[in-house]
Amino acid sequence: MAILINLDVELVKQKMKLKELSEKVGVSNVNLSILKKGKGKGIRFSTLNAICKALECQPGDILEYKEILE
Amino acid sequence: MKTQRHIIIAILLGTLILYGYIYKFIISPIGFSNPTGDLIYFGIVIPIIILITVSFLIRKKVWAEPYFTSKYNYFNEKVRYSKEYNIPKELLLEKVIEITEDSKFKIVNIDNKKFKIFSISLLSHNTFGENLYISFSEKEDHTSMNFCCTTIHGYSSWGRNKKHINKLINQIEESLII
Repeated sequence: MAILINLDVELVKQKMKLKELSEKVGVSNVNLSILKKGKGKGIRFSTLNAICKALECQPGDILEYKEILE
Repeated sequence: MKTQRHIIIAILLGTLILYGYIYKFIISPIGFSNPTGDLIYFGIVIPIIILITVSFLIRKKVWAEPYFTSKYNYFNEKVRYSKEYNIPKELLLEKVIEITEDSKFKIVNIDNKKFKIFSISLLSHNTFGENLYISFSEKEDHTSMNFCCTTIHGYSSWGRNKKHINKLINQIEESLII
């Protein structure tokens, strides 16, 4: 997919573990893992809002568009 | 067409069982016993009761999976369905556990090594309950999720097996929007 999820980068920046983020955001560890791997079908604004709040970042820091030539 | 066949078989069996009971507890005690009545009672009614009892006793046993899912078991209905996701099977297993726990199914056993989930739906006024077996297998970069929903004892589930699987698939699809 052309939309990349940079959740792992932001987690490293904030020195936070996925489990900790999961507790702060209120989304299960499994769901965050799926999101981190870019295997989810979509992301809710409420989830994005909670993640940005917990990681003190902007949506653009988590989501990135990259053109993939097929 | 299939439902019509189910109804006919159910009515036939029901009639035989009813006759068996009437024969054993009403006709026979008043002295009108005959070989056909005995044959129906001991050849059909008793074996069916034994089969139902045994099925109930072993329904929660993990080792009984081959019995319930075997294509040669003609006493229950099985619905199989397979769906592929591009999610690693470890993650998908966790995901399905999470979803199954929120559904009407009760998880009996999780095999983390063989990547299998065994869950059951409970007895209610219109069903004896169903067994749901889910297994995961990896094919290249995809994970194949295989469902097998079976009735405990019954030639037809009246569409419940298919409904259970569809509901679970929908819940999985929905939960992928995080």
